[in-house]
Order: sequence, then structure tokens, then C-alpha cells
Amino acid sequence: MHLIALGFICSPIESTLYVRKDGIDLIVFVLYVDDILLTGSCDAKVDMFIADLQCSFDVTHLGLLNYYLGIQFVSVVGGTIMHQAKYIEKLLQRFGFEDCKPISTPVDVGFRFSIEDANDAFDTSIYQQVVGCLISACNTRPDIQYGVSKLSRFMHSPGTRH
Amino acid sequence: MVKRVFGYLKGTLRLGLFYSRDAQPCMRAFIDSDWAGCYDTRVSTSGNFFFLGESCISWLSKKQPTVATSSCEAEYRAVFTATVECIWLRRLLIDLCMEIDDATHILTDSQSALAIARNPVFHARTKHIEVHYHYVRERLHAGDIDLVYVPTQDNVADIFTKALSREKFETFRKALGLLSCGG
Repeated sequence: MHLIALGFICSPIESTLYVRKDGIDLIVFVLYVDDILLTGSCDAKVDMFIADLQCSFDVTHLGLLNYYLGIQFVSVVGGTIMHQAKYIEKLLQRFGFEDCKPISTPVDVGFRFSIEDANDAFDTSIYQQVVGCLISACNTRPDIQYGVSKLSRFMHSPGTRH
Repeated sequence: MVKRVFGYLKGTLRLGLFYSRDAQPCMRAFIDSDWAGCYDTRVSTSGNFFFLGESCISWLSKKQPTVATSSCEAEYRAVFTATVECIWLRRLLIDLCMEIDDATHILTDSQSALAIARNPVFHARTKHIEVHYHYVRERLHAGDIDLVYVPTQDNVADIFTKALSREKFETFRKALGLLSCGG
């Protein structure tokens, strides 16, 4: 509500996105629960807005973006790389795959995914946790999207082959 | 299979999506589908992804809601899914005060899906496709999207609908803007 009073417009199609136009300059504000992402076309105006915000709220300015919602951001020549190395490392540990052998592609050519491989003895809950975590890893990894979407089709009845 | 995905992730831990500072605000999409790829239900899979400039901003790999009776129908449904996403992304860009005047090019490797979208005649083999898939035609006429042919070997969206050989996989992965951030 405060943002709207400051002249921001909430995007009708994406409720976490607020935009304010100042002449030719633009301030973009992304609010996810209590995490804020702020950017704009003019640095001075963005700084002024942060100062404004600090007058009304208890806000900590964490500086340049390097970590947001589990995604790491690295500045490189010409742009930024978004990755989840920390998160993936944690997953490898959590599910005991630290020692598995590195492979060059995520899906075996010719592997046949089938519901017939379902196995009652298999722990469905663990499988669901693993695949759920892999879905989050897809946020910056379109290369595993296909494999993960195939695996997620067996959430209700996994088997050892999955 | 889970183990294989983890094995792959282990070997490529530091891969991430690259976003260029001087990207052109020009949006393009690649789409693809397999046909009857699910062995149990014979349902097809749609895949698509969107480039803004040279960076990948949105992607999908999803089982289609119903069985497609021909590969053309499966491809056409993939066109539909991409069109819906495209309209949403275009509105989002407008909210971010970006100007988009040109129709977004949607690249497909299916000549038959192109033909159905362009030709407003119901063919014997397509008359059963649900009406809402003809949304694509409407958007095409409105000038929001434009369908363009791309040869299969250059269709990067393949990575979202099939298992690929290592060489092809790595080429497409690079095309998606996935780079290693070192360390």
C-alpha cells in the first residue's frame, strides 16, 4: 500500500512486481514476502528511493545482488550469471549422491520411463522429496528440465529404476 | 534415473544462465514436441523456451493434457502452449515499460503445424482439435505472434522433449546461454 502511495503501479499480471516511471527513468521493485529486489535505470533515483524507504521501514540494504531466493548471482564481463551451485551441492549431500560418478548428459538416450516399473516396497516419500528438490534446481538449469519433468510423472508410484 | 540426473549435476555444478547487460529487447521462442512419448498413456510432450535478446527467460517441458492422434496435432498443441506463454511475457514486458512492436517469432520445425495455423480451413484430420487451440490463429492475425520454420537440427527446443546425444546436448545447452561461472 505504501508503494502505491509512492506512485508505484502493481503489475496486473505479476503481483510481486511494482514499477514506477519518473519521466524517462524507471524504478522496478520486486517484493517476495520480506525479500526485496530493486533496480532502476538511474542509480541516483534508486538510492534516493532506498533512503525514502529506510525512513518508513526497518530495511537492511544488502548491496549489490548476489543471493536471492536460493539463487546465486555472479557478475562477469558483459553481464551476470545466475546459478544454484550451493543449493545443488546441498542436495548432493542431503540425498547421499556426493560420491556418484559425473555423467555428461542428464537423460540416457533410449531409456524407457514406464509406470510398470513401480514398486510398492519403494519409499515414495523420499522419491517425492528428491524430485521436489530437483524441480527447484530447474530454476536456473533448463538443461535438466526434460529429465526432471519425466521423473516427476512417477511421483505417486516410483520404482527402483526411477 | 534420479542418480543419473545427480551424476550430471555433480559434473556441471557451476553452470548458470548468462544474462547480457546490453541485451536487445527482442523476444523469440523455439518450440518442439515429441509424439506419443509416454509409453503408458501415449500422451505427447510439449517443450518451449523464450529468448529475450540472447538470454533464456522462460522454458517448459510438459506432458500434454490429452492424447494427440498425429504428430502434427502434438506440434500444434505445443504452438498453443507457447502462444499463451508468449502473450503473458509480452504483457510483462509492457509492464516493465519496454516497447514491443513486432510480432514475437515462434520457431517450429513442424511444417504441418505451420500450415494449420495459417490456413483457416478445417481439414479432415484436424477437425477434432479443440476450439481453444485455434486461439493461436487469432493471435497470429492480431500480429502478436508469427510462426517461423526452423530445421529440426537447429531447433534448440529439442532439449526439452527428448534425450539427446552428448554432442547435440552440449551444443544446445550452450545455445540456451548456460555457461560455467568458474571456481
